[in-house]
Amino acid sequence: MDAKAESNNILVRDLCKKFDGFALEHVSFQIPKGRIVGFIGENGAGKSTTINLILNELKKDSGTIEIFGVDHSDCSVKEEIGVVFDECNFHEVFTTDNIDKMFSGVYKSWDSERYQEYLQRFKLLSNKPIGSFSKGMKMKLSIICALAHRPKLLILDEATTGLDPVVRDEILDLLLEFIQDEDHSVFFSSHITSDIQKIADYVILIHQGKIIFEEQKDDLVYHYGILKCGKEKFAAISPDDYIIHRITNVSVECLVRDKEAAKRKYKDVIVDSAALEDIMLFYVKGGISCGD
Amino acid sequence: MRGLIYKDFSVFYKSIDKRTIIIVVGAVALILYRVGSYGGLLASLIFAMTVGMQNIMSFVSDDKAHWKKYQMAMPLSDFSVVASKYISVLCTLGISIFGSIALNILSSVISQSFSPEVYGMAVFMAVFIPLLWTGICLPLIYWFGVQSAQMANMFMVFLPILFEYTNSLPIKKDLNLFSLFFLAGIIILVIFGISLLISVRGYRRRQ
Amino acid sequence: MEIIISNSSDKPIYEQICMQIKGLIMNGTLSAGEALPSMRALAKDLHISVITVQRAYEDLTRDGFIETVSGKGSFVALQNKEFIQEEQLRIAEEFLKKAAEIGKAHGIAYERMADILKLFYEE
Repeated sequence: MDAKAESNNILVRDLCKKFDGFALEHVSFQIPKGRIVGFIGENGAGKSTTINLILNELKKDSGTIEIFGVDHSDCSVKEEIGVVFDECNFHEVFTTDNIDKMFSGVYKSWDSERYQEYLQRFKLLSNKPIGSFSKGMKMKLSIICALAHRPKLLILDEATTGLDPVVRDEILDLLLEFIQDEDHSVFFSSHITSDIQKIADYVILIHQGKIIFEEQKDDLVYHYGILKCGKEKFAAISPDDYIIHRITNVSVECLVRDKEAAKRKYKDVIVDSAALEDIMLFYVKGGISCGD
Repeated sequence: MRGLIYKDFSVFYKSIDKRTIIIVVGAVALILYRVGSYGGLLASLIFAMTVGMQNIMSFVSDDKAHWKKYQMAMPLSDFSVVASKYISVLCTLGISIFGSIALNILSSVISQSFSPEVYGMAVFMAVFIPLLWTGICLPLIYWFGVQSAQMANMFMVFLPILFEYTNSLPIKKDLNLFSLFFLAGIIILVIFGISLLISVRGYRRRQ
Repeated sequence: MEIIISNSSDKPIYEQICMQIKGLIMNGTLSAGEALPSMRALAKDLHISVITVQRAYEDLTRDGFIETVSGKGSFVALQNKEFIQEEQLRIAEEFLKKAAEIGKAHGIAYERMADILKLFYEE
């Protein structure tokens, strides 16, 4: 895959971490420069754990994590990372001005002017405490703060979850704006695949602590397909031609890697395009028969 | 580091609970009228205790905002994170010193008496109590979480009893008050320093 | 420059972009030497991923429609429009030949075939 040929902002190799009842096993992937990488998987698949390990908030058991080419435990790399979590982490009593003053004492490169510009653009200029902000406003504020110290890498952990479509669209705008610089990257975890399907260059799927695939999004959505047929026809389909199949009461559905090839080879079956969500569901639910 | 100190001090300042102020002001007023010349001393004891407790309360609000997770994503060393907490506590001493002097002046006006020893003692307590208190609570927070410090906070109410006890000790009049403060001050600073190191170790632990 | 993409079309987005820019070049809206928007800016305007636009630009470069100068951006290539049209016409001829063969073999009248071509043109 060509992600490997590009130079990276994050490189994860053979990352392992064991908890009671859950383990990340030999997780490897990279976040190329100039790209938006979507990180998908169901809740509890290991997305947040992976992100926390990258940020050195959890201690890894083994493996290597490099950010901008240096080990992630070097705390100076964080100067150039903007992080947004799924909740607003500011004290409710704070105002946007308090945050400005605080961050100018945390990041050397904090840009107050830029921060104020963003506040104005997103209509967040207010003297009210953050506790009175709506969820969308809080999330926009978190992202603005992640951008105002001019980072090279933006990491978002479920940042668009629970937001209305308008706010989510504004956030996607910000991400695409951020990526105008070829050295910047975005690592964007979500279980809402539609946002990722829109703007991600690469998609990584994690399931039960293992990376299932790391692929170019266009390859996924334009090449993968879902073949649908009756049980009799399914018997004639070679197992080499599909990745996973799912048997329902009324039909069989197979995830195929090359929908055009499947269309050519098998007549009288339906081959649909597969959205990212369909692909994820196939892998996550596996070959479980849903008819039971 | 500067940013965190600003944050902690602002949280301290902004999270001062209005109900607490009313209770404290009421208690202080009552004491000043009833106790006489030592009223100022007792009032500043209560004030210093409030400052100590308020410090812990601001750490509780850190916890509520899941601040630790966020803070770990910032370019800050473990030491500077913990040290800035301790420095922000030192900053709040200004408030407790100011408060204790103000209360004693009030007391002097009411009781028409002035004693330098009482003032010295009051200022000493304004420094001593918040330092000792956070010195005990911060390592608890960094090792066992906020709940442990909240529990410990409840025991704060027993401090006045300790005060009563030391008051009844037969302190010799010829003992130099200054050297006594000096000695106690050094002990407290040592406790505070050791507490800082224990806290840093606690914060450094990663799951 | 106007580019309109459809999310519900069967055609991949990079192909839509590629086709539309080719069209703009062939009908003269974009003239030789003219700068195209940067890949990243176009991705942002269309709300799509950068790689998708990159792929379209790569295809356009491969087909000789645009030239990419690293560090400067992409420009409409100084190509011979007649030459390209000639090339494409040859490809179309092949298809038409096949259509004529099928038509003759199955007794389809020329007029019907021509009507169908006309219909496609007007589509």
